[in-house]
Amino acid sequence: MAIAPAAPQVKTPVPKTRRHRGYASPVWWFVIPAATLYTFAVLVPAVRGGLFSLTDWDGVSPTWEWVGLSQYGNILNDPNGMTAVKNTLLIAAAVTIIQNVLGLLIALGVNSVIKSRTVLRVLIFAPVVITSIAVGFLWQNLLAPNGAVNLALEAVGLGALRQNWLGDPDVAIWSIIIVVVWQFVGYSMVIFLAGLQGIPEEVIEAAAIDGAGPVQRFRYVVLPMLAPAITINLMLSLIGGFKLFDQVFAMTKGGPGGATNTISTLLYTNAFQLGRFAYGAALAVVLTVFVAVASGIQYKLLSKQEG
Amino acid sequence: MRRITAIPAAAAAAAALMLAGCATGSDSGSGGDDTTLTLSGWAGDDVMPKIIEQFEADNPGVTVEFAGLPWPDILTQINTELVSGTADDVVVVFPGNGNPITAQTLAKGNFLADLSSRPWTSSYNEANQTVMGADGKVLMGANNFTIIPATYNEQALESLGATVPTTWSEVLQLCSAARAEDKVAYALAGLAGGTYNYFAFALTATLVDGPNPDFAEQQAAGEVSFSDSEWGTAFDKYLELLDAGCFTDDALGTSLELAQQQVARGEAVGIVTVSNQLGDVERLAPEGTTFVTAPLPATDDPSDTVLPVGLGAGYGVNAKGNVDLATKFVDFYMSNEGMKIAVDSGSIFPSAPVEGFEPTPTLAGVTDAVQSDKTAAFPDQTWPNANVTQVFLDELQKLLGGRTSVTDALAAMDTAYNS
Repeated sequence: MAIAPAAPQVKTPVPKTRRHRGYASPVWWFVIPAATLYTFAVLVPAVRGGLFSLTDWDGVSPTWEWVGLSQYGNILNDPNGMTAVKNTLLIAAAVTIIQNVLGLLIALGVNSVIKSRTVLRVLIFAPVVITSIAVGFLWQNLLAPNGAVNLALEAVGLGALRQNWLGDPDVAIWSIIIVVVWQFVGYSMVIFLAGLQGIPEEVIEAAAIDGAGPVQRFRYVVLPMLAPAITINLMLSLIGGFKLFDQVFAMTKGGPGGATNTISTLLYTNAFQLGRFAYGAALAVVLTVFVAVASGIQYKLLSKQEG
Repeated sequence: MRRITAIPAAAAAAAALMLAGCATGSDSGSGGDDTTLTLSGWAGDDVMPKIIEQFEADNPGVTVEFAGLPWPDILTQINTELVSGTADDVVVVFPGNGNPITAQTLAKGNFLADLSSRPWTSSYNEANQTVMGADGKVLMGANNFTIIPATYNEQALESLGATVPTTWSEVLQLCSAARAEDKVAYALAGLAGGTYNYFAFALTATLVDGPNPDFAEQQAAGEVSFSDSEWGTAFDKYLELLDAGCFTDDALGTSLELAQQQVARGEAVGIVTVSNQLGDVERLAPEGTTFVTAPLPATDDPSDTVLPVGLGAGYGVNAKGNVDLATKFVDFYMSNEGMKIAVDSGSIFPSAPVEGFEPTPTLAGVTDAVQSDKTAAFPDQTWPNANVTQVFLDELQKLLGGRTSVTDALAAMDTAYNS
């Protein structure tokens, strides 16, 4: 039996890494133009804004004085400031919950085999592409005392539900929330729809064969697999709710009597219309902290859920 | 190594170019030469182009570049451009205080050139010169008066068999007569940017400034306040009208455009708003509709009635711009010739005598009042900071919505005034 000669021990050459310093570094150098622009267009103004919140600058005078944290104290002492903080939290929470629950339900509906699903998807998504300020003015007219909404309620015999939608302080804030949900529910729907279409049909069928009913399939199969879509949807709607400005400004400008002010509208009014730039800057810092903290907590919680 | 060092050098150069591009691109306003003038005015202004046309004809070789800015963007845009040094040579400026581009706000940053020595300033009394500037300087010129009359749809009045009210009792009678015919006496826009503040100014002119023309000076000296003045009576009378059903139903949810439509169509008999909005009302009205104006009475003695009249928005000269040419333009804008063009082109009420001036038929009803001593300046033009105006607007909305009392509203205004 011939024994095949052992194959010569060929020392496989280890490929030399090409990642020596001379080639690795340029990647970072390429960042310089964008980083420079970002630094001067975003970071520097943001830091300057934060510093101005510690002054008494009115936005026009050539001089100002450091006043420490007193502008933040003013937020607590200003009835409009506290109303704006409460409204911002209410809008962020309500929009996040309502928009996502409705968006998910609609996504489940238009993900079915109904014939008109494509038309429905387009119709429900259509408001997303309209400018928010235009949506605000449109709904300001629809919600007028003799506007289409009240006329429609009367036409179908629901005249008792007629409201002063934008003039009643208790109702106006909810009118704004409904308009925001109307505009952006299609956005949530599209993200949920993408998530639903990424769930393999076999997995759902297997669960059905194992005896899982529709609710169980949704709870134990669909929902966990939708976790990434839920995370991104909650994050976007929460941040959007915190920053809400256009619709409020177009519909009520924060009225009546400051009842619908948000932190964004109040900071704009103070910084650019009332000559209280430093107070506006303090409100901007508070808003930034709200968004950062809420987004961070939410991301941590949902990341755990995604596993 | 040469290649490696070239990359950051190229990146740095690219960044420098981009920043240089930004710097060059943002400097769109000030400067210019002796033949080019830049002007930030009102979008849709059909008078200013005619003034510019005549100015260019009188000054061969000079070109005026006009940029029309919409309300309310004009407030923040001009303010921001002045602060950043990129504003046009001539900019819209409001008299007094109360918004980001008033003479007194902009005086804090020395953004406007001193026009005190210009010949046209002598046509204005001390009160007007005070609101056209600050610290004894005149910083703007306004060629027009803004008036707050009560404007009535004549056909709607006739349908009720009513006449223009000249006493408070007649105002209340008009409210009853209008309600009986399923109309309202006065269209009221209570949404922000509406007309609800003008009604208050119309009442305070007669009730506060009428008996005490020095109220504003005394308030600035700390001798009187909102709370201990007839402002309370004015607010009480406002609420009396509200309770009497004089206003648009659900007024707090009604926009300016809807209120204008109501009076234009005769669904409301009248409206109390600034004179420069009356053109919009006339445009919205069916053909053949005519309007008449009169001061709004607040007492039962017609001789008590005082008309709110204030200098309207005008123009100032950017101190960092082409000052000489800009001053020359403002001189022309404020001259008799410039005002004549404005008067002939639009429906302005000139702030100085103009030969041959004939008010529009709608404003004819208040011409005598404007030229009499029965006028009062708008109170917000003398308030010390813009926040007083904001608090006044907020508190008035709360008052009309039943969310505060007259006492609390006035106390809040006093706090803002003194802060």
